[in-house]
Amino acid sequence: MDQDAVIARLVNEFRYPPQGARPVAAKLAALSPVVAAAFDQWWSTGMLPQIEVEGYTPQELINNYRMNPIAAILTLDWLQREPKRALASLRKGHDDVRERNGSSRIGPYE
Amino acid sequence: MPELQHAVDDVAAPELAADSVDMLDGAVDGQADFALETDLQVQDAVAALQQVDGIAPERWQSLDSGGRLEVLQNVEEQMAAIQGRPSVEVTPSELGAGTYGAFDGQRIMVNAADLNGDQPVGEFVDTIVHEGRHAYQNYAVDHPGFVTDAAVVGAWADNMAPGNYLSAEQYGQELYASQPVEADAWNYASRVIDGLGLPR
Repeated sequence: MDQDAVIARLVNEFRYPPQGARPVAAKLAALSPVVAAAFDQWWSTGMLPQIEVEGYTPQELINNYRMNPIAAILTLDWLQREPKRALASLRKGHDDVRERNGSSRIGPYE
Repeated sequence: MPELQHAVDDVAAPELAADSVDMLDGAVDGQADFALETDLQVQDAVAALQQVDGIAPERWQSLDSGGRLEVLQNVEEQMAAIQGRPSVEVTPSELGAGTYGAFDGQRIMVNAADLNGDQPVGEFVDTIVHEGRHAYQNYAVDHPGFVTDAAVVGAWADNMAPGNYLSAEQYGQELYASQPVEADAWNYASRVIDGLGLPR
């Protein structure tokens, strides 16, 4: 899959910022085979794949963790590669660090 | 934090003219200082939080949501003092499923629905310590030199810049958890909670 094309679609269709689309595209290019096949199906058809990894499905991650399909597939891949770490992290959940208000900041010492 | 400063002052440091400081050694010293600072904070946090009324599981279970919120605010006050930053308000908020807390630069939010639930007290203390660490990161970015390791602070600043924070909802759990501000906060809070031995 052409990385530039993936990045373009992530930005244009799925509204990832360009700097965020790049690490996502890199992760998608390195998916484990089982998850890669599921991703290819979704990328082509828009239909959620029927895949379960360590008890998690894409639908559950979307419904209960509010992930989009891409985030769900990336998470399934992590569960596939590092189940212990991924399970512990998912069990905790996630927080939300809101963007800093006030003056925008590029680096710490500008 | 007079005792913390005393501990730092006790570490012998070579006397060097400013223009003779090797940049690599300076960087290494900064990293070592940051690691030491973090270790000391974790130790102090475990000692301080053990004294917080309401942390004991049986006591926590008897509290209503207002009482629990007071306990969590006390935890944040203790952590802020240890970290040398101003404390922030802890407030219940309507957060989505799977979102245990949030930090918006000014206050720590805890999931209001969870506050009345049966989750173990360790989960809540973990949340406050985790989110408070984000407040520490935020303060460090705003106050150059507060944290000695410039590379760490630079990474935090970059991570918190508009458009750079990787939410779990959009980037998945791995990219979310491994970004600089989250990896640091996770590791820090885990060390404190493990030291306290609270159920999670």
